[in-house]
Amino acid sequence: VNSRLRHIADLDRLIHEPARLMIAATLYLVEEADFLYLQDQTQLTKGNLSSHLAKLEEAGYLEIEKTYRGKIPMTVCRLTKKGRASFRAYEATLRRALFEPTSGAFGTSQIVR
Amino acid sequence: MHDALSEARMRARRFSFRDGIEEITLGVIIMLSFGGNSIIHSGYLPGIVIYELVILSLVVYGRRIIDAVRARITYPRSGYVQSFIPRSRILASFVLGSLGGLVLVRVVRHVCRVDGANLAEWSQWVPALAGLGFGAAWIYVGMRYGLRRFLVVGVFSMFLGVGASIEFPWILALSIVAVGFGCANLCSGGFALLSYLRTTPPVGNGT
Repeated sequence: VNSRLRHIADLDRLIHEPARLMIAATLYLVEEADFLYLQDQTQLTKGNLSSHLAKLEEAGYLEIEKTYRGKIPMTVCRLTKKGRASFRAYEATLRRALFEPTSGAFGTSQIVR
Repeated sequence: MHDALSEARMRARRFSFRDGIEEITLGVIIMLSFGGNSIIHSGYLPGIVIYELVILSLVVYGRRIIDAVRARITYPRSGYVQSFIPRSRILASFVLGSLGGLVLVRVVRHVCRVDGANLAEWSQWVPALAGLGFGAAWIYVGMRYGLRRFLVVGVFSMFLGVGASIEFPWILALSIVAVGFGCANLCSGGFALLSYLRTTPPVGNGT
C-alpha cells in the first residue's frame, strides 16, 4: 500500500461528504450565515440542507440559533471551535495526501497543469 | 481546493455589496461629513452643533441603520451573512492609518519649516489628494471584488478631486469633492439596489 495514500483514510468522513463539505467550507469563511444564504451558496434543497446541518450540529461542529429579524424568523448557523478545527485539519490532511510534492499520493502531478 | 475556498471567501465579501445599501449609507456620511465644511466655516453655532450631532449619530448608529434596512430588504431575499474579518487585521489597519497620518503631518510641517513653503499653497491640493485617495480606495475594492461600479466611481472621484483643486479655492473644492463623491456613491448604490430588488424576489416567510 502506498503509505502516502493512507493520509486519505485519515480524512474526517463527516466533513468529507460533498454537501457537508460545501456547508462547512462556506461557514468556515464567514462568522455566521443564515439558512437562506447557505441554500443560495450550496444550491441544496431545504430538506437536504436541514438534514446535513442537523448532522453537523449533532457532531458538535455547528451551532444553530433560531432567531428573529424584526418579525421574520431566521435560522443562523455558525461553526463551533471544534468545527473550525476539524475543517482546518480536514484541509491539511487533504493537501498532504494529494498536493504535497514530497509526500503527495500522486507525486509531482500537481506541477503538470 | 485553495482556489475554491478563495472564491467562496470572495463571494461572501462581495455579498455585502450586492444590495448597494452600504454605498448609499457611506455616500450620505461622506457627503455630510465633508460637505458640511461651509456650515463649519460660517461660524453659526446652532448650525454647527446640529450638524455635528447628525454626523455623530450617523457614525454611531450607521451599522444599526444598515442592519435594520437589510433585515427588511436583503435578508428575506438573499439571506444573512456576517463576514469574518480578523481583529488583528482591523487593529493593523487602524495603527497603520494613524501612523501614516502622523508621518504625513510631520512631513508637511518639516517641508514648511525648512523650505519656507507656503501652507496655503499646499492646502490648495488637499481636495485633489482627497479625490485621489477616495478613488484609489474604490478602485482597489472594485478590482479586488470584481465590482465595476466601484471602478467608475473611483475614476470619477480622481478626476473630480484634481479638477476641483485646479478650479476652486480649497475649502469649496473639498466640499465639491465630498458632495460629488457622496452623490456618486448614492447613485451607484441606488442603481445597485434597484437592480437587486428587480432581480431578487423575497423567499417565503423566513428561514
